[in-house]
Amino acid sequence: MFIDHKVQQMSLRGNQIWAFLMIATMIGFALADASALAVLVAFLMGGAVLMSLLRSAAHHRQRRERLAMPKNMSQAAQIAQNQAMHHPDFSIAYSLLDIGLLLDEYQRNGLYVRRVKSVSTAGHALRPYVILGCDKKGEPSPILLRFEMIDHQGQLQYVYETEHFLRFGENAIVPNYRLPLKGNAKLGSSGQWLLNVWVDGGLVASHQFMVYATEKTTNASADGEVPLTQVSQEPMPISLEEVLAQQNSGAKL
Amino acid sequence: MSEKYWWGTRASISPRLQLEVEYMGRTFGDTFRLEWEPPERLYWIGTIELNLSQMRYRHHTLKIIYPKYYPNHPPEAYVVAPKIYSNKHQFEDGQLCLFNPKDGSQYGWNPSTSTAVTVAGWAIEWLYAYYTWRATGIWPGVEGSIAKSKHRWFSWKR
Repeated sequence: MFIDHKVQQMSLRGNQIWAFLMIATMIGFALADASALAVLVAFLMGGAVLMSLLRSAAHHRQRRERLAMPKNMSQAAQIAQNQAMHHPDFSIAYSLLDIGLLLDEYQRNGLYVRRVKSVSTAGHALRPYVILGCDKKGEPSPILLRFEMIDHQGQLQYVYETEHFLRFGENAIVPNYRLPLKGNAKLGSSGQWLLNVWVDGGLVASHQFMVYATEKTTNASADGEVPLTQVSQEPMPISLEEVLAQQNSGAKL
Repeated sequence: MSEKYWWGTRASISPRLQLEVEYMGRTFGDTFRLEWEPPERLYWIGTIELNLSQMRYRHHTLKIIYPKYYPNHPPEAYVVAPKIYSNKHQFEDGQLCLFNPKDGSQYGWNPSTSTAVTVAGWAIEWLYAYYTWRATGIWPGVEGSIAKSKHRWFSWKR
């Protein structure tokens, strides 16, 4: 919206200049001697050059504004978008508002999900999320979304693809699938990872984050047995009965 | 083998239900309690206290039922006790009419961001609006058209 407004402003400025030039031409014809004509021609040429410069400036400003962040864009999204700009498949077709990571942690009183900037492999599981803005009203439009997490060695550790219907306003998209952390032998050592978000084949964000290997991720001990301590720490799926029973322990209705 | 529903299976609940449980707990503490009606119906039930003067019953029990096609369909909210029959913004079976789907996902139900917390909050707001209407004859907020059938939605815009 704000881009259109700027274009209108530029267009109005152009009209004013042309009106000024027309008036100058009319005055020139009225005076019509050779020196006045030369001045008039020079004046018109100057005007044409000025117009071309203004148009070029308007074009660049439009492009800058297209790339400019929406008002409610998070700092993480700004950095991720700037990072993605260096990629040949960078896309600005979709407005990125936020990007980040959600870490699942099991604690004594249940499951906790929290947003993290860096990740410890002591956590239970990790998944990314993204918030895309849509300024088109009307029917939701389908998009193909792809999340990728690449480790510091360039290995693809996580891929999730989904079709999502983009609605007017903010669209928070959280994958159902999580990357297991605790006990995951494929994670390797600490390092900087990359979260790439693709929409319809275009890269919209490239988010860097640190992963700290805070425990041994090998499952098997020297004798090939899985250590008992690790078995007991292995997160298990939560059953419905467990969830219902957890309420009973502290129920005060 | 157990059947899989939106909330997962008996052996392993879905991430969505985990989030629902977490958010309800964070927002309302232990006011609401999750109940299961085999084979598939899940609902929250809880008693809240309204802070209005001259009320016969301050405590109201709300029931928030997850539909089969959750989260594409929003949960349904009912006042279990005391019995409330309103000519305004309530379906024939007692379900509270909380929003108009035509308002879109930004103002109404948004499957990707709304949860049972959203509907529980709206239901509490509905109760305050209902008692205001009973006392003053004016329903706070902008009202939509009224239809008793669930096939035609009607709205109360907060």
